Amino acid sequence: MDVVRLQNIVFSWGKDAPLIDIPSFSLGKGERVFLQGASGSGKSTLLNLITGLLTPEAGHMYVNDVDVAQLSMLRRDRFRADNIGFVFQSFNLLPYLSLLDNVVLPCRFSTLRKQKAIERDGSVKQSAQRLLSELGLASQLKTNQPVIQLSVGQQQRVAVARALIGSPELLIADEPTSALDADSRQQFLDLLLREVKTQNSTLLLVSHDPVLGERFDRSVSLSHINKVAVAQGVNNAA
Amino acid sequence: MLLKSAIASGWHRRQTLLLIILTIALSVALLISVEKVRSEVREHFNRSVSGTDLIVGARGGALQLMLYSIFHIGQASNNIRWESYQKIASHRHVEWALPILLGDSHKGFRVVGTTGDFFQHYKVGQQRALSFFAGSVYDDLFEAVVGAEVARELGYQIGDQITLSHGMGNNSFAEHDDRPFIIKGVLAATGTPVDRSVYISPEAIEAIHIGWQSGTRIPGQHFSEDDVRAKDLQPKTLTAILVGVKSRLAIFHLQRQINQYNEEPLQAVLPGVALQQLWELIRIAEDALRIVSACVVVAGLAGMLSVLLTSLGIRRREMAILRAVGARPWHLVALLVMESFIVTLLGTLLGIVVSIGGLWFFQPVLEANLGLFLDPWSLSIETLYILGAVLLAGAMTGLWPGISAYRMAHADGLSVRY
Repeated sequence: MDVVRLQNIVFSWGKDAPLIDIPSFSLGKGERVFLQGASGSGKSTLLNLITGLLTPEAGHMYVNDVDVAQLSMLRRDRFRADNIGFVFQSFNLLPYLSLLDNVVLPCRFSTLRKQKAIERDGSVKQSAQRLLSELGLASQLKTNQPVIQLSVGQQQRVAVARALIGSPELLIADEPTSALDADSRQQFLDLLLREVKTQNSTLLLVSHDPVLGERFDRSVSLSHINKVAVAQGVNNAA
Repeated sequence: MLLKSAIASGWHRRQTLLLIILTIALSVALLISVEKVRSEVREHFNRSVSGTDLIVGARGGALQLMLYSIFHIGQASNNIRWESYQKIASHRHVEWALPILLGDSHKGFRVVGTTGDFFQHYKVGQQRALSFFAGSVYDDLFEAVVGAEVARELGYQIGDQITLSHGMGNNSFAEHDDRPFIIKGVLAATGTPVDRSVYISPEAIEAIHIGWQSGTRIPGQHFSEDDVRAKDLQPKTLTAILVGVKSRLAIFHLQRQINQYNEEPLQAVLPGVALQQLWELIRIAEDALRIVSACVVVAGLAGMLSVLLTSLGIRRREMAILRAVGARPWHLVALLVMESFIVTLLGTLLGIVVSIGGLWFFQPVLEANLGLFLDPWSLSIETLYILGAVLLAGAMTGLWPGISAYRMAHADGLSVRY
C-alpha cells in the first residue's frame, strides 16, 4: 500500500506556465525517500501540495488513500494535523515552551495522534520522553534546558521527535540539515533514519544536496518526475 | 492549551506588552475617574437640596437662585423684604421657613445669616439633619457656628474669636473688625457647601452693618456694643428663604401663591426643577469629558493594535510552526484575540488599582478645594458596563492581527524562510 500517490498533478502560480506536472510519484509504507531538487525547481510547492496547503489544478493527490485535493479546507487542516509530521530547515521550536511541551504540541491539536501516543507509551508525556531519549536528548530533558540554549543539531532532533509523536503516516523534512555542519549532519541523518525505521514511519526528505541521498531506500530527482523543464528562473512565490 | 500558549507567548514578549498594559491602565484609570467625578458632582448637588421643598428669592433665573442661595455660587440679583419672609413663614402650608442672608465673608468662606432653626430643618444627603462635631447653636448676638472645613482649614476651636469682612474676598479692606464673633459650635462634615460656611444669626448680620452704608463705613460714626444691642436688630431685607411644607401636595399651590404675590416680585423654585436645568447646562461638559476619556481608551487600544501588528512580523515563524504542528487557522485568530483580551484585562485591572490609588492620594485635595468626596473603592454599575465595553473592544481589537496572521499563514504554507 502506498502512503503517498500522485496522479497527473499539475500546478501553476496564477496564469504562469505550470511549475509542476507530475504524471506519477508514490511513496510506499515505511519507505524512506530522498527527493533532490535545485533551488526554484518547485520542491516547496510540491511539499505544499502533498500537505494540502496548495490545491492542484488537475490530478489526484492521495495521502493514505484519501484524495487530499478533494477535501475542504477545514478537513484538510485536520487531515494534515492527524497524518503528517513536519520538520523545517531551522528554527523549529517555540522558544517560550519547554522541551517537552514543544514535543507534545501535535497531540494538542490532533486527538488521533494523542490516542496513538497513549496507546503506544501509556501517556503523551511518556511518548515524548521515549522519543527524546531515543534521539539522544535524555540529559537535556532531565535538566529541562530552555530550547533556545540547545545547539542547532539538538533543536533539529527535537523537531524530529515532535514530528514523530503520535506516529503520523508521513514525515516530511524540508532541508533539515542545511543549517548543520558536516559532523552533526551525519549524526542527525543517522538518528533520523534509525528512528523512522523504529517507528515504521514513511519519510520524505527534500534537499538540494545530492550527497545526502546515498543512505536512503530510494533517491529521486525532482527533474525526473516533473515534466516541466527545470531552471526556468527562481520561483519567489515558493 | 491555546490559553497556555497565549500566556507563554505573551510572557516571552512581556516588555512590549507591559508598556501597552500600562497605557491601557492609565486610560482606564482616567475613564473611571471621570465617571466618578461626574456622578459625584451630581450627588454633591443632590445631597445639598435633599430636604428643601421650595427656594424663594427675588425674581430671576430659577437656577441662579438655587446656585447663590444654597451653593454660594454667584451673587443675588436682588434682596427681598423681611415682611415677605414673615408672611411665608406664617403661611398655613409652611412647616418651616429659613431666612438666608448673604453678602459677608470670613477669609474666603461665606457668612450665612440664618436662624437657629436652620440646624434643625436643613437636611443633607439621605434626609440627614446637621449635627455638631463640637459645641452648639449660637444663642448670643456675637456668636458663630462654623462648618467642618472652615474649622479644619483655619484650625478653629470653640471659643476662638473671628472677625468678618464685608463682601467676598480674602483681602477685603472693609473689615467688620469692630465686632468680633466667638465660635460657639463646629459642625460635622457633610460633603456640602455647609462645610465651607460660617453661620451667624440674622440679627448679627444687621448688627455688624450698623454705621455702614453702600458697602462702606460712614465716617465719624461709632456705636459701642451696648448701643448696638439696644437697637432694633430685625433685618429689613434678606437674600432667600428655604421652605419646608407640611404636605408635599401643597407644594405647587404654595409655589403659585408666592409667584403671584403682589407686594413685591418673588419667585419660588423647586430644587429638583432647578437641578434639571443645571444638568442640561453641564451635560455638554459631561459629554465632552466622556468623549475625551473614551478617545484616550481608543488611543490605548490603537497602541495595542499597532504593537500586535508589529509583533506579527517577528512571530511569523511562530505562526508557521503552530500550523506545521496542526494548528488550524482559527487557532491563530483565537491566539491573537486571547492575547489582546488578556492584555486589555490586565490593563483594566491595573487601571482600577491605579484609580483607587490615585483617588486615595488626591482625595484630601479634592475635598478641600472642590468639596467633592470621591469614594475610591466604589464602582458604579454604569462604570462596570463601560469597563465591560472596554474589554469587549480589546478582544475585538485582536481580530485584526488575528485575521492578518490567518492570511499570512495561508500564504506562507509550511515554507517560511528568513
